[in-house]
Amino acid sequence: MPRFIKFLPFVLLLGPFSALADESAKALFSRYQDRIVQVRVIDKEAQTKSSLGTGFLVASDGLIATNYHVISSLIHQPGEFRLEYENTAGGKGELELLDIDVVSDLALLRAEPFGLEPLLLPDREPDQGETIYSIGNPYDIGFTVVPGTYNGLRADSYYQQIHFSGSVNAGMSGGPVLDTSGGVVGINVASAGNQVSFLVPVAALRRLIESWTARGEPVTDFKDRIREQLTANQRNLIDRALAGSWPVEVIGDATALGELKPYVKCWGSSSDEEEDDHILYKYISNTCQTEHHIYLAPGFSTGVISYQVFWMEANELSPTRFYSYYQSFFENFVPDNSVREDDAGEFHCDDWIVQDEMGQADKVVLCARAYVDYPGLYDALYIRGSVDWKNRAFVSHFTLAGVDRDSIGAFMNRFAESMQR
Amino acid sequence: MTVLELRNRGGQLLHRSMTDREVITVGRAFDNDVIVDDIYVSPHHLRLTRTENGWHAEDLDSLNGIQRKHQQNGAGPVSSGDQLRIGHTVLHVYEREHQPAGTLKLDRAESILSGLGRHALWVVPLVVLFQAVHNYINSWSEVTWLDGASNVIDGVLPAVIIAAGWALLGRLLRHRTHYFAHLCIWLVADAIPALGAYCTSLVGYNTGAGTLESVANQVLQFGSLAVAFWASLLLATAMRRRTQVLTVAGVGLAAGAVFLIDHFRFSDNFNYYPDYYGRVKQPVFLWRQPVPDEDVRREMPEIFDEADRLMRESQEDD
Repeated sequence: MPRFIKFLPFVLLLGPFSALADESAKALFSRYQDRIVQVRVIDKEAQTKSSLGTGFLVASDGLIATNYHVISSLIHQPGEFRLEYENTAGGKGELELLDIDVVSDLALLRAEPFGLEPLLLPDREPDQGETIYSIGNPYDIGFTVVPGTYNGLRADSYYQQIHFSGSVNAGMSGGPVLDTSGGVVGINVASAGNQVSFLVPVAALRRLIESWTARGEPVTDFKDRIREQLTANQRNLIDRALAGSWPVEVIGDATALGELKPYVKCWGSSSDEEEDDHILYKYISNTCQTEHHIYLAPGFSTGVISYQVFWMEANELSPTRFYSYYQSFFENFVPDNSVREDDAGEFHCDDWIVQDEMGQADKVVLCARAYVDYPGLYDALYIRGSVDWKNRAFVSHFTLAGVDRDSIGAFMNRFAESMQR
Repeated sequence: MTVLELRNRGGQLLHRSMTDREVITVGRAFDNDVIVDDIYVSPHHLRLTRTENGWHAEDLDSLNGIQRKHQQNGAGPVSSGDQLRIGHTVLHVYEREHQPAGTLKLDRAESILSGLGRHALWVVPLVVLFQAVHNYINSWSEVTWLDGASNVIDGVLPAVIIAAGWALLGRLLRHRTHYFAHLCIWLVADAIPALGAYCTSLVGYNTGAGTLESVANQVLQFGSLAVAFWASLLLATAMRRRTQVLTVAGVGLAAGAVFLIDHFRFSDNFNYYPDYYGRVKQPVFLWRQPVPDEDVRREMPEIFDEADRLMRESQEDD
């Protein structure tokens, strides 16, 4: 009998909540479904859909929002694709690309007016744990409502994204996520699997609509618009990162830059994890990187800050053997973002043996590759490793992706200063 | 007077005799004028009968018949210098006045190379020791004797096999094996680029000339292979100097062409990764004067300018 009483409150609470969720999902979908569309990128030659996403009405004059990544091929292969939508009733129409926010992964499109009121974009943040509803067309199998919970903004990212505990699948990108009153909370954008999904906050969409409304005419050069947005974003990012104090942590006999919150997340590792018990060297490493990359095109991402520090020593190895190991390690650094051949040139590198005022000698390597469509932006790779110890070494490396010369220089100076041995 | 030679298919002389008979019988049976120790030769295989113009070969109903080069039925007239194949043996028929092949001048290089086999006793252990040290330097774990031995075997095995190939060729063409001479040649050819790489790495590290280091290593690799090829060719074949030079040059050019074609075929491939000079060496080998940190900052714009140029170039190529 006591056990029954103990469980009673849960039964009572769960019953009405579950019914409420079902009711809200049903009501929300039936009330707003005619404002939600499937966005299709059509290959002009094949006359078939090349990629799909979801979009929703944000202004009564036919303004539709979706993700930038849904329509990016329209920008990178102009003339090869066109846009169309299909609504839940099966009605179809053409779409025109008006503006984008590449950093937040948003795009504004325009259709012939539907004669409907748009979805509301309220300035209200739901409470953590509040049930919200993601709508989209996963895998082109039909419109779906997915209930989940609002878990606030990601704390581990400089780029603002809402953590949504619910399933967002391919094809739902660009779909709205509504609260129980039908107001848009965010826009489906990514999933980490296992009910961990991410949404673009509705505030970013409001800013994009305001910017579009103020300009009043469609963007003509989208690549220039992307360059403009990337440049502004990386300046803001690097300036803010440089403005704060940098945390320091001890690694071996050196001190190095620690976790630079909220820009990167760090993970440590050491030779203790190696399976081979016979290795004669030890290392400790800390690898820090941004959790979020800015998507530009398939196979092309940017907006990355990543850095690594390594302490390695091998008292049982002769200097010749230690340096043989050290070199195999030093010559294998690669950038942390991906590009395609059409997006950037090849890396150009230079190297120096430098000595500071304390007489410490380091090898420094600096490499850069230039973006094709976004002049003035580069990926940079910096490696610095000690060369004056017989069987110890301290190495630091950073990759900055999609950054201008000044920001790379400023970051490099501060990064080098933060490493002390 | 007629000279008869029995040679095996590799050309090795098995028997030579002179005769002034008008009729000569050849076969495996002991009542023949020329007895051939070859199971594919019939007991009474062929008969040579002198004619006005030379000889006439007659097949004595042998099991495997008489063949000549590009000719299945070798019976018929025989002139001085003709070769009749019977079983696995070749019968050469010469008149006494037959002009032998030109005299080959003694080659000093060949004399030296054939003497190399005598040095195998110290060359092989020295190269094996070098291999062992090289492997030891490039391992960062505890090295057991078994691992060390296994790595050395892996290292010298290619030379052992290549030397065996050349020795076999020598055996076939010149009836001389010179296995240990070939082994010394290929072990040294394998060790020289590795040894040279230590020197070029010192130069590269202290001048910052990574490309020069890489080119020098390739030249060393290619050069030592070419020299080893020439040396083994000299030992294994009886080519004249001119033919040797042409063969080595031909093979070298063909290999170079393959390398260059390969290089240019892949040089157009986009390199996603930075191709930087990552050489680091222990402090005792740092002989160049380090530069102040400011130099990196000062030279930074050149890296970006060059990156822009590379990007424009790749666009123009497209």
